[in-house]
Amino acid sequence: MSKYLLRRLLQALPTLFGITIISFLMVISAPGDPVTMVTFNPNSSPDSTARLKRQLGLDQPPIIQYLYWLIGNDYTRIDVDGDGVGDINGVRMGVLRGDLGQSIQYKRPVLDLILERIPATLQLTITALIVGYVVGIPLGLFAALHHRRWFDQFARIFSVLGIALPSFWLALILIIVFSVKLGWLPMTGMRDVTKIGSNTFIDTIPYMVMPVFVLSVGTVAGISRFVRASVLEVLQQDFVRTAHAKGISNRVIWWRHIARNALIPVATLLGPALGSLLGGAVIIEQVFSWPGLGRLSVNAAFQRDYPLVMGFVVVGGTLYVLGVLLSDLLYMWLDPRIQLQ
Amino acid sequence: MSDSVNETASTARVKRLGEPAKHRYYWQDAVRHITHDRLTMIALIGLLLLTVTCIIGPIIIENQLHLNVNRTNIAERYKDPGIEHLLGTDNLGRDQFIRLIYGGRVSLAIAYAASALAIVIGVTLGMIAGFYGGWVDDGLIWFINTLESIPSIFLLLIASTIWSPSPGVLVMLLAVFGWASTCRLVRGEVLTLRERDYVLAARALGAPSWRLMIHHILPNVLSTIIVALTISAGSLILIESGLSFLGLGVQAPTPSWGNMLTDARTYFTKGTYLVIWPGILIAMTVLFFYVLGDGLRDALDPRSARK
Repeated sequence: MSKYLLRRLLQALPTLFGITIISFLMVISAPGDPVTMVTFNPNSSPDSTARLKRQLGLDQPPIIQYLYWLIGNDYTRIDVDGDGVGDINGVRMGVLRGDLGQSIQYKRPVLDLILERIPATLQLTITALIVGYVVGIPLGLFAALHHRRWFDQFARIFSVLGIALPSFWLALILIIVFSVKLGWLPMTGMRDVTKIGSNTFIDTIPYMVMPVFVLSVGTVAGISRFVRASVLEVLQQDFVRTAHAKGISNRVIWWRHIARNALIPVATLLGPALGSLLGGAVIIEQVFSWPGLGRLSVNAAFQRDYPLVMGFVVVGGTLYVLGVLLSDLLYMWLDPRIQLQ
Repeated sequence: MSDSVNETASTARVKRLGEPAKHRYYWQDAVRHITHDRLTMIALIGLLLLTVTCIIGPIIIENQLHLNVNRTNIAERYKDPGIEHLLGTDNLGRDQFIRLIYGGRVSLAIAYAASALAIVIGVTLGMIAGFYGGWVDDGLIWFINTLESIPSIFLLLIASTIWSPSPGVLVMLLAVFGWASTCRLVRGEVLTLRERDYVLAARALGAPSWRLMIHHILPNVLSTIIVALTISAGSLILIESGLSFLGLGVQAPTPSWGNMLTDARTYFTKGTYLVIWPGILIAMTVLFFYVLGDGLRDALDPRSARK
């Protein structure tokens, strides 16, 4: 177990490393001078611009800039006046030590901004994930149980629709029906609720209904499809026929032999589902003005706040890798046969 | 008596040998399978109709009706659907039906072009990685794992702010971030194909690597490629419309199904019908692509269960 865990952790490292490289490469290839974006002052003298550039390490070659960003520059002295001698100590700690830099727009550490917004996003995505599993598994099981009958056809149509419908459109339709026409649910305003401070989870539920529904439609569709296929595959196995031959009742075969074996692989969907929910939240938070990571990231993209956007890529990628790791471990814990492979 | 029995049996055999069961080639068989698959045919015809409308529509609108898709007319704002404006007009008095056709042209063109480009990248890299193996393969798999572990919307978000997205740039961006799954698929198939005896035989005859790849391996992954192309076109429609909806994809005044919904979101209290149609068209197109992809997979895989 610990050996497998160690190996999986080591396998995750190159991926995490790659995530930092991709986000850095994209930002460094951006056209335009980064200093003017920081100062927002085209009239500053060339001398002070050069000073600022040296201070920020932008005069260095890309590989050094990447290292400064990744592991920081507090171990070296920075030559600010350009005479070849270090003048002040570097202050950056680097991504590896949790310093994702300063947001240009907010003039605050990126990590603080992300940590502030992450609870709202996780509240949405994790609820949607739970709904996805709680609804998706029975739907898939039931569809497989009624293979090729009307419920199965209905479940198949639903699962295709769930993937084909654009989530933001579904969100707009729900807003029109339930907020504008019927007035049952609040359209936006989650921000005000979280700001009052005295809110409990219960207070936020009316605001969550529509975003969670929209987000979970895709997950329910994906999981029910997976479960259905998985059950139909287990049905073909020899041990099911043996169990029938032994005269075990259908109910016992169904629950103890089929469902149990078919549901184990569902654990592997946890990581990918979390990833697609995080991606989906970017658009859905925008529609419902949800005060989470997605909305912040879209604003950051519009404001060209590159440090903040890079922070999102690193945090989003890390969350995904952790999700996959977690689902692999869960899978192994549920099915000890995996270790042998 | 027994002679005649033998005779009939042998003539029957001769007959069977003389008129062999009509055998079909792989592609003929696939076409036959598809034309008998009603759902897939509906999807195929639907897609063809949509595509043709979006190609011919603008030509008729410009040359015969002399209308400009972006011309605003404040006097005609929020007209309900009727005879003059089939699906009503938007917040600037532009005919929604005409904008949907133009929007479809942009959305479909981006989806076709981007998925074609993504497939070219994915197939090329997948073939090379699968064929050569070793560190090339390791490196590529590492890159794919990395690319797939970042929600692609984040990457597209950065990329579309860095390079302002004209439709051409958007095609490139979507392709650059969309080739990974195809590549993984093709690589997997090539890994097994390169060990086949006929490849070994060709190699023994002195065929160079490029010839092995193009003449012996590529034809065998073609069915995978066709299915991947269809499915990826469908998901690209969704991704493009999402980006355009956020304001990071196709830029106004050029209509796309996605950015028509951005405007509609602001004005839906005045024109609910402005929200409905772009979404239905997106969903329908994606559905057609997915159903077609599923149907093609069944038709092109001889091992799949055929009803």
